[in-house]
Amino acid sequence: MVRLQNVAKRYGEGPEILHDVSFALAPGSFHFLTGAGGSGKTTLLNLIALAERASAGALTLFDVATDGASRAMRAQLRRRIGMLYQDCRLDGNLSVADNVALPLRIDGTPTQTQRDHVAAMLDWLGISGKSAALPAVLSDAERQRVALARAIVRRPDLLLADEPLVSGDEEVALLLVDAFERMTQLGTTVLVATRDAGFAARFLHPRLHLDGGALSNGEASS
Amino acid sequence: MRITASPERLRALPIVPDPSRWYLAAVVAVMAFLAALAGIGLIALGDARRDWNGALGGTLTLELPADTSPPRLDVVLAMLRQTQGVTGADALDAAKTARLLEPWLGKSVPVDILPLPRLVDIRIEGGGAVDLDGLRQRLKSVAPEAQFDDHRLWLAKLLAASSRLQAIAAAILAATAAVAAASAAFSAGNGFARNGERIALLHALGAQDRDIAARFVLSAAGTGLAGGVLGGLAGAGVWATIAGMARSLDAPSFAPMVADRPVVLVIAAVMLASALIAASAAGLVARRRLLRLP
Repeated sequence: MVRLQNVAKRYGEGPEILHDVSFALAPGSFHFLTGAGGSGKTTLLNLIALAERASAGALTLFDVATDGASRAMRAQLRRRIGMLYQDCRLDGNLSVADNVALPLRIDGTPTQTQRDHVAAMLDWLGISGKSAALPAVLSDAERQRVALARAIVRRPDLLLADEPLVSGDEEVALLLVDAFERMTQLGTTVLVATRDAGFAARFLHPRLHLDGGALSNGEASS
Repeated sequence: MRITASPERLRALPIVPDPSRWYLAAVVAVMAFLAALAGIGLIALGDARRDWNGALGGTLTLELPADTSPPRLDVVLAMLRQTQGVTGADALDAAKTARLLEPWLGKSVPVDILPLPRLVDIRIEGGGAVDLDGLRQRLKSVAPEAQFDDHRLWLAKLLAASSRLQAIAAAILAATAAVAAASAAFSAGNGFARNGERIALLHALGAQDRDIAARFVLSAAGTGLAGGVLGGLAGAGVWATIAGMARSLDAPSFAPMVADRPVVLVIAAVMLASALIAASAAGLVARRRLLRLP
């Protein structure tokens, strides 16, 4: 599903943000990616989401070697990935429904199907009342649900979440983890980055721990 | 459950590719106007040149003094007939010469008392490939006072001038195309920058380069076509006015310039080219900007 082999990343001549990272995620698995701020979690997620290119090593997604893949192929691979950004990355000029519909629109999904999927998604996350609202008027928790809806509206094969649990809202955090777990039951591979190792430790899901850009083999201290 | 975008807009990616579309349409319109006039000028000049070339090919008149003796005249005729490019040479008799002068002198003047020059009608090949200077040199030995009617010389100058005018018209065409392309490229770059954040998001969500670029190409094509139609029609209007004036003057020199069919073709080509140039320039810029995304 996802396989990294000796992946390294540095920007220009700067220091290595990631070095020699190797791991594989099985289909339908749920992993936490823990590590302190600045340990390279976001960079690692961006590499897997094909938002960055590794400076060394190989990344295989859905059995496709991404290094030699064409731009069109990389775009095709991105369509199988849902990404929950730390800052939500909603489009401030589009309504909640339009934001959630963006991935379907990119795929060229028929308009009526788009409407149905978006409505079902907002309904499931309990924000259907906000579908016409602009992101600016939403609370942080609502914004995060919209971002989640957009990340999973396509039923992605791989779901990446960057620091989704930091809002300090225990209820939201639990709802998100619950949603992620449901996704794995549908066959989605989930990787959740968090600096809150203690929260991650409350679940039985395996943890990958980044320390200074390198994967440490043992379990993170909790 | 309400989605704010209309169904039509839902199909295309939500990008406003060209926030400065009115500016672009105006620039393209002016360029199309100039291009239409330059294009029509190019065609009119081409037509005129063909006519003038034909006039060059036809005939040539040699003028000999009135007192040229018949044997000398025969020598001249023989020399002319041997010249390459000359298909025939005949001396005009007195009656024919008199008829040529009738419009000026009237019928009542007894032309036989006037010292009329002897005229020789020379027919030359279509290409007009006669070495006039060489012929003049050789004639000097047998008839030093022989003179060519020099309208050929004048026509040749006109032809040279018109070819320079054609070069200028072609340069104007190229310049208008370049300005239209540059404006469309600038406009697309501007649109890309204004939509930068959304395009980056669409890209991250898996949008294909070609789908994003298509928004820029289609928008620029529409704007370019609008400008082209506007400018082309204005050019056609100006042309129609000039042609109408020429017709009312009944000036034969304008006659070859009022052929309508090529003018319509030129206008149509200018409109189409406006759309194509704007679209390809915008598409090129969009593709290049997209390559900056991972």
